[in-house]
Amino acid sequence: MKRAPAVVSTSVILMGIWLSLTLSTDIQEIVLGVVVSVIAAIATNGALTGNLFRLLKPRKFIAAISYIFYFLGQMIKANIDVLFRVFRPVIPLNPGIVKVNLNLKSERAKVIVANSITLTPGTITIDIAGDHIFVHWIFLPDGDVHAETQSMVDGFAGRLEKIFE
Amino acid sequence: MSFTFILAHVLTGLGALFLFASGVGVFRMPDVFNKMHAGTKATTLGSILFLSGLGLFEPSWLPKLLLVAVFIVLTNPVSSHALARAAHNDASEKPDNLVIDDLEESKGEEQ
Repeated sequence: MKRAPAVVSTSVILMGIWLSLTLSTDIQEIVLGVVVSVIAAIATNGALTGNLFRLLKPRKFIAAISYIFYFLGQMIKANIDVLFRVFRPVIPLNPGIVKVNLNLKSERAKVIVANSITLTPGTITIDIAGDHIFVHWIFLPDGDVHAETQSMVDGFAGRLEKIFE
Repeated sequence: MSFTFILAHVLTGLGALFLFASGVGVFRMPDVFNKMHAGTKATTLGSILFLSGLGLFEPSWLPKLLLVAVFIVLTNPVSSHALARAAHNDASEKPDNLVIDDLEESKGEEQ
């Protein structure tokens, strides 16, 4: 039962979703929720969340919380950027697709990096192939675009490495 | 006029502003990838702000609305990722204004 922690994490998350959808303390609803969550978690082998108990170590917990705040800050910056860009008489554009390295072992971490890049200022992820990630810039940075993109990707990847190592 | 009432109005207003900017961006941007920028980023934060403002008007809806916001954050980038990849594979959608295109070059290496 190597996957037991992952299955338990998934059923706890599913149960949380169920409770916030029903908002009911009726015993029938809760029992049905528990049964369905456990069946769904066993059927998917805990693939939805993976083992969340690893996050309970203080160092990783702090890393996860700080990642969320870093991400939210970047997302607000991205939206202000879009807001000022679309209302200009001539939209400033200098687009390009840049390939950089992404040295993360965990597939889950790669997905999180790709999604985070899509929601941060001026960049969206187009494709991931092996250890490489393709990033589309709406306005290419000055100087060496590959170095600039690499430092932007490493900003996320370095923070995620502390959580997923 | 309670503080929550004012905050709810401010949040829904800001959310509507970002959703409007997103619509304008999708309309004004010249090619598919740049449209994707406006269509993904601004709708995500716009929806989060609008839903949390709505949650302050009706506190009993708040858990459900936060759940919707979390699902939007998780799924919105994935759909944009899939659309952008499909657009890049389709030659007829390819914009001619790209300054550099590493993805096209790496496709050439594979063949």
